[in-house]
This record gives sequence, structure tokens and C-alpha cells, in this order.
Amino acid sequence: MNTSDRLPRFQGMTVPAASTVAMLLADARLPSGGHAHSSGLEPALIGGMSPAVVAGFLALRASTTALVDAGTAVATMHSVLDGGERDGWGLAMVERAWSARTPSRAMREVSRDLGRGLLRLARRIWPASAGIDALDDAPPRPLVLGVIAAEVGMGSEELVRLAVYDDLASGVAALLKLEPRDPADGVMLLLESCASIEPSVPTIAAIRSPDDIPALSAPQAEAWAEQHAITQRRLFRG
Amino acid sequence: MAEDNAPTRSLRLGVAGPVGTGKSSLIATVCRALADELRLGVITNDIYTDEDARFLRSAGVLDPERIRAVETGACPHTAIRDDITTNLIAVEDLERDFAPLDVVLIESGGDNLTATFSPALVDAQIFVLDVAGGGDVARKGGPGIGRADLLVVNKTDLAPYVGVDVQLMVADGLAARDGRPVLALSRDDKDSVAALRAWVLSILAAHRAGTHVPQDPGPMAPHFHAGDGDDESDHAHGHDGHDHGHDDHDHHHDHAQERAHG
Repeated sequence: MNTSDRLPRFQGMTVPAASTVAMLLADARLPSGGHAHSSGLEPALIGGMSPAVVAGFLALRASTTALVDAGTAVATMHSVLDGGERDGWGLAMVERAWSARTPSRAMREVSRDLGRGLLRLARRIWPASAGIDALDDAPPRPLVLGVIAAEVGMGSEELVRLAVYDDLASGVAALLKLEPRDPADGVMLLLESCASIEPSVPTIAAIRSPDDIPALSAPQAEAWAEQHAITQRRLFRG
Repeated sequence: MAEDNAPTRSLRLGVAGPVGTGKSSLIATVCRALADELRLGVITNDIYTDEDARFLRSAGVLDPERIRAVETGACPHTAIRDDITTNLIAVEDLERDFAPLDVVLIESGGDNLTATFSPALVDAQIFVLDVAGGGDVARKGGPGIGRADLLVVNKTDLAPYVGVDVQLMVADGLAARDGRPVLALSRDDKDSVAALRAWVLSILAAHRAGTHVPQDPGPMAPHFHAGDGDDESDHAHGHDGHDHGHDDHDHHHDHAQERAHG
């Protein structure tokens, strides 16, 4: 199949396919600062969670925090694509909705750290993108994913899976440094936890308004994140 | 090579080298020698803790708020080369919060002989060895030893206790560096501290004059051979690749040869 006809064009230059960008953003080697993060796993282990229940931790993360982020990314994408500013659910509204559903300040700060690194890279790649340009300097990570998705024409289900995968993959990569085990076991954990949210993917992908972002809190993980923010012995930022 | 040339842009000076060679101590020495005349900031890259940042804050050589630590996710080499995002953001924040700064010193997490800074993160870099790590280390070469802007042989005061000939170690360093400077340093040796101070000031002056071009010492050497291509570092260093003795190789070749002969 010749897909080149479907590629978006920018100023006469060929730009990468949305799926390529999704793979890029999911790649742990992406230079956007992600390697210093563990998606809450180090906070949990330092907080006393047994390494034996990491699979449960990842599944819970997938079905709570990661879905809030995924829904926020989708709402962001639509805000950019559908002229949300005009309809009163612009990027600021999306960010407020995300903040209200991310009650841990430490988690919000960690997400802004990630968002800032990612945005820095995105500005370099898409210097003329109005959606990317509309963000402040340190937006939460899902907002940056959303504006990039809007820029490259990513499908909403792909965006949901990207947001979830990237988050969980950071946790699994960190696991190998925190509680060393067979790296192949980490791959299995990652695929299982990603698969666990498949039933929710269509619902999250169908979000248009920030009001529809689910409020899925994880109080114990939030408490661990708060504690982690003030610890002096850590490998990962959060 | 760094992107941001705003008026608040400082000289970003990296300090790399293996664990325990005295990187934090060298930074404290630079701060002590220059804090009165320059506006300084420090970023540390610890691995497990913010120990280095706390050491420097407690040394009282700089306003503690001007010393910040970043996490490296157990990958200190990644944080200064493959993904410099966290460090760049920390430097920019420091430059913004204390504008204008003259020099921001960035201390790498102690790693191994191959870890050097990307020129997208720092304008110049110091590579630190110490006599206690072994008198033969300077001879072993590597990108930091061969091509950092300054090679420091630290803790020279310990040399008599560890049986190391400082002059020989410095000579090894010079041989490995194609004439780039090597400094034998002890924080208790005033002359050596004065030489370090003068070097930092000279790099700062060159940076401001636009005559200093950030060089990439390189990661693990690309196994380049003279005449094969147009590798930038090759031009910069006047590589000839023909007339070095086996022991004082300083270029891309020597790594391949080390492996071949090692």
C-alpha cells in the first residue's frame, strides 16, 4: 500500500507519518528528559510497596493516572483541532480539568517537568505549529502529547495507547534499575498492563470536552508521590 | 552550539571524571577562587542522592540557592550526552533566576573514562583524574582525557602516599592531548589553584569574545582513520594519525588499538 499520498505536507517538505511520530514519542531514547522518571514506581517502592506486586501497581496506574492523562491528551487534541478556544474549552480549560483530576501536587509537578522537556523538543521539531506554540513553558505532559497529536494528525486511539504506553514503559524501565530482574519479564509486565486498559480505549478516545476526562484517582500512589518529592535518596524524579 | 544566546546566557562549564576524583571539591575550589568577582551557579548530577549539592552548599562557597541538583535516573552519562534535557532546563532556570550569571558549573555524576559532556549542554569542559586513582590512568586515554578543554590531575598532595610520579602523569596527559592543557592540582597548593582560576577566566574571556568554539570530546571514539572522511573533531585537532608512538596515541585510533592489543 502506498501511504505517501496520505502524508501531511508542510511547506513543500515531507513530514513524518503520525504513526512514526507516535513511535518516536513512545521511544525511551527520545531526548526529552524521560529517563529520569519512573512513573511513580520508585516512590511506591521507597514507600514500602513490595516488589512482588509491581504488576498490580502497573495495572492500577494504567487504569487511573494513565487514563486521566490519556483522556487529557485526547481533549487537548480536539481543543486544537476543533477550535476549542472558540467554544470555551481551550487549552487552559483542559489544563484545569487535568489539574482537578490530578490532586497530588508532586504528581502535577512531575508531569510538568516531563511536559517541559517534551515541549522543548517539540518546538524544535515543529517550530511553526500554532497548537504547540499555544502552550506555556511547562505544561503537563498530556497537553504536549495532545498538541503534537493534533499537529501530525494522530488517531485518537493511537494517542490513548501512546499516553498509556509511554507512562508504563518508564515505570518498567525504572524497575530494572530498582528491583533488577530478567528484562524480558519487564516486557511482559508492560504488555500486560497496557492490554489491561484496552476495554477503556474506545471510551477515552471518544472524549471531546475536558468535562469528559475521567476522574480516576489513586490516593496511595499520590501519597507516595508526595513523600518522594521531599526524599533525599532517589534515582528518579518521580 | 548551544541554542540560547539570550543576554543572560552564561559560560556553561562541565566538570566530568570518574567517581571520587574530586569533581565537587574542584568546583568548590573554583567557587572559592572566583565567587568574589564572578556571578556563579552550580548544577550537580548525583546518582543516588543530592550529596554533591549538599556538600557544596555546606562548603559555604556560594549562596546555597545557586546550587541545584538534578536526577539522572541512574544514567549519569545519558544526562550529559544522549538526553541533556533535564540539565539544560536546570541551567536555564538558574540563569533566569539569578540573571545575569557569568559561569554555571555543571558537575557530572561520577562515571567512567568514556563519559563526556555534549557540546549542546556545555561550552567547555574539564576532565578530572586524581593521582590516587592510579598513575597510569592518564595514559589510558579516552575522549575526556584526550580532548576535554582542560585535564586536571587532582590531589597531587597525595602523590607521595600512593607512589605516583605527578610529573610523569602530567607528561602522559600532555602526550595524550596534542598540546591541550593539563593542570596538576591540589586545593592546598596555592599556585595550582591560581592556575585553575586563570584558566577559567581565560575560557570565559574567549567565550565572551566569541573565539571559543565548544568542542565535542566525543563519546566512545568513532573508529576513524585519517583520510576517511570529514569528521569535525579531526579538523579541530589537527589529527595526523601517523607519527605517534604506540603509548602516546591520543586520537580515534588509539581505542581501536587498545582493544586490538589489550
